[in-house]
Amino acid sequence: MSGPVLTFQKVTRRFGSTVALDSLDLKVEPGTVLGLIGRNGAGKSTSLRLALGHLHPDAGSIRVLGHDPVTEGIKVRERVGLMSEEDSLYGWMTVNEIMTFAAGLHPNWDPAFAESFRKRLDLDPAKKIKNLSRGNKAKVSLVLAVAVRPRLLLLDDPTSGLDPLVRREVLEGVLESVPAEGGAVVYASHLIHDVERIADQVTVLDNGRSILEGDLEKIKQRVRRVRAVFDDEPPEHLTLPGLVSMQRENRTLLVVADGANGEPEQALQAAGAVNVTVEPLPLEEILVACLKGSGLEEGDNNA
Amino acid sequence: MHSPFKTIFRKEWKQSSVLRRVAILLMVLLPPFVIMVAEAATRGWIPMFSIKSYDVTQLFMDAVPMFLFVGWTLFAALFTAQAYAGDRSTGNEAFLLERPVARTVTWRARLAAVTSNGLIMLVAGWLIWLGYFRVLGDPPEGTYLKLSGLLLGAGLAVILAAICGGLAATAFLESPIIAVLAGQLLAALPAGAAALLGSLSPFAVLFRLDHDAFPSPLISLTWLPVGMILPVLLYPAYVAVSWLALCRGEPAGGGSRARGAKVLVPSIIGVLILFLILAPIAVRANVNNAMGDGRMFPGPGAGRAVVTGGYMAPGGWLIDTISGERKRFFQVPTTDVVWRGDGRYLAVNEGKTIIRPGSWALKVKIVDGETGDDLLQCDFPAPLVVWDIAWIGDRAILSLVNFHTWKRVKNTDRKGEAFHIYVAEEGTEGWKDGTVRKLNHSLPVKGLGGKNWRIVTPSPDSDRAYFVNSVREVREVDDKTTLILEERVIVSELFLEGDSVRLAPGIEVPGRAYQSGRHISPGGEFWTDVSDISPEGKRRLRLFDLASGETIPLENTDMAGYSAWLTNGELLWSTVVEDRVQLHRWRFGEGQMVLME
Repeated sequence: MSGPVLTFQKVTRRFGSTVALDSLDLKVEPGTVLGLIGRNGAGKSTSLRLALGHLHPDAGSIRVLGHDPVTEGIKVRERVGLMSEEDSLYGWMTVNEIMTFAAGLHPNWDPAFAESFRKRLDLDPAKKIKNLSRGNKAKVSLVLAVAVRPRLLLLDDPTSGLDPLVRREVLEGVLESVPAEGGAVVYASHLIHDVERIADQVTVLDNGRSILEGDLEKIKQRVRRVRAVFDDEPPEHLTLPGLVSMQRENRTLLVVADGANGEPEQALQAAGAVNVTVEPLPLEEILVACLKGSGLEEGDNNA
Repeated sequence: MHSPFKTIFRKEWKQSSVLRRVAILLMVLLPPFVIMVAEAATRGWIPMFSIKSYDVTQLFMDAVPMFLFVGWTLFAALFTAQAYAGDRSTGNEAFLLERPVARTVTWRARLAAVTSNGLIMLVAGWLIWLGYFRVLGDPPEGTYLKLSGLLLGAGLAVILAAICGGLAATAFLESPIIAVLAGQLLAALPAGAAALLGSLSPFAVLFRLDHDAFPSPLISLTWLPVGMILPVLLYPAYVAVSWLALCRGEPAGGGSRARGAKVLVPSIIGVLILFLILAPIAVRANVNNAMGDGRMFPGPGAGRAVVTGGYMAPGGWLIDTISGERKRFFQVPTTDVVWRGDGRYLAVNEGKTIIRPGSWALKVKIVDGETGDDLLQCDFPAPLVVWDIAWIGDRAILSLVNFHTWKRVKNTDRKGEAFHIYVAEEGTEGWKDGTVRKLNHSLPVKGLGGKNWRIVTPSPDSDRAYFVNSVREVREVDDKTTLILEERVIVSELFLEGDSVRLAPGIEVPGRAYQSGRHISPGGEFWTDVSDISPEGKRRLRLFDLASGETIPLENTDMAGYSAWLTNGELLWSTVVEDRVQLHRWRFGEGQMVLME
């Protein structure tokens, strides 16, 4: 299959009066790792559950590996692995038992890969799930998710609450398990550093809408902080292209703006700034600025 | 390796292993526990109750099975709740939903596991009961087989009912404990509804069961009302509720309760509607079916008869005997049908509705014999029971008894207070403005109860009526035995005068008045009795003159139970004399002769 692994087209989902997803568009191409970032309740988990067919969209359409998860949920779940933050593992089973159990439910289970991956993550097969640490439970979830050799791996905040060492192990495991050709990962998390570590595409969700999306490196190049110093008070009303957020400190304006070609700097100089400096921002600060500001749309000419 | 059904079944089986073991252990401990409790109760060690003695065999026939039923029901509900709500309550359901497994497969695998657990529990309990019983009990010959069959059959029924109830409950509830309780209630709902609707419609019978086909010494089922059958349909509806709630719609569970409710609520309402539709049909079908053993009330005029289903299905039809057309249906129970002498009208004591046939007495109707239309309806308050209906000329005499008063009044001479007489009569415009009014009386109602007094007419078209009072002289031998010293009948002609009833002086004759017997000759001069038993043990016909009370001698009266008065005053009876059947006739003035031999 050569098309997108996952496509959301104008997908809307409500829970009562709450709009969890609002006309969301999403596209994941083969071979990419998409970081789905947002605050709690932004719509990350809802998106993944919609992709898996657990929830049905109120509007819009979803295709996963060419299948509609609403009507072809079984086919979708045969090719998609999910690692969830929810503790859905049976506590009374041992690691070995839960692997056997999962194997019996999945036609694509790869027992050799599952076993080697279990050993690689140093999981004791005789230990009951309820006696495992949180980190090891996450590892078991990862083994179960990747042992079916998924074309699409959905990770729903898998490292939440884990210590840094385990987080690193899990993330490495994720990267190892992604099929070399054609596989894709959607990594939903509010832990931006983890996303930054493995994602090459990013979509930022806020209140069910995408407020920033695109290639991670390009976003970091595009969105920068501009410090403009004026002789007197900065103008009250200032229109800047690609403005994300703006902060006043006496005669200085601190502006976060989306403009890789220098339009914000030029606009500030035109408005009377005597000194304009530009500095890059880490992803976390970009997101904070985005979430505090009015939001961004990726401009094609800026990308 | 990939086999979702087996995989989930094994997981459910393993997950329920603790519960299964506990159930079997409790069943092993149950019989000794019951015996211990009985023993302790005999020694007065239990403060709540005590018993004088107990019988181990009897304990195994009632107490132990009763506790087994309770245990089976409870554990079946627990198995069901654990399988269908357990994973949801612990958050493990997502594990299955994330896998490529159809929810129907999960649902079926769980049902298979729950049913298997139920069957194992049933067989284990049954074997444990049988084992203990054979060692400790001593039932009558053949009781093992019948009792064990009953226990297995009833046990299977309660377990399946509990599973169905649990399925419906877990469609709405995620907490297993609450689902167990709700499941028990839902399981009991159809059973309760069956008992209620069955008692409300005992004559709405779809088919009858031969009690020999039901292998139980404790229960005999001879009929099965629709009211008892229809609620059972709720059990499959419960299964459908569970399937629709858990296997359709969003896997995450959104709208599952609404889907379940969309089946459950219409099912309950549907059963009630179906009952209201089917019950009257079943009543009529049952009456039609029972007419072969029923009763016939031919109209004195040509062309009309009322045919009823008799005791088993006491409803009936007014039939045009020329065309065969059914003119109208009389609801069950229709206990009395009395034609007026000219055959134009009939008085009928008809049941109220199919819903309350328990009221046996309270609606007497005057019906047009030609069209079947109701002309007048007499409703009486509940304690009154219609005793007799008789036509005297154009008027219908209704005698009723208030049993509350009958029981309350101890003085024999005042028993008449419980006896009420009404008259229904036409007005100036016929029955359109017909009336029913109560008459005063001071009838000397005596006797021990039962059909000891009656108002009878000598023939259907007679304008005379008689009050017949059976009297017994008895001696109580002991608490349980009463010796009948003498039985006699006081026959008095009855007159309606204004708002009162007056009796002519009565004539006493020996014998007993039978409910169905026509004792009085058409002219009211003679009385027959068949209560006398000859020294050879044969029932004898006796004839009395009502003017003098004296016996008129007859010959060859043995076995003459089926005597009859003809309208011309002749008395006919048949008897057997030296292996020869003889038909005798007696006529006043001419005496007795053999008509046929």
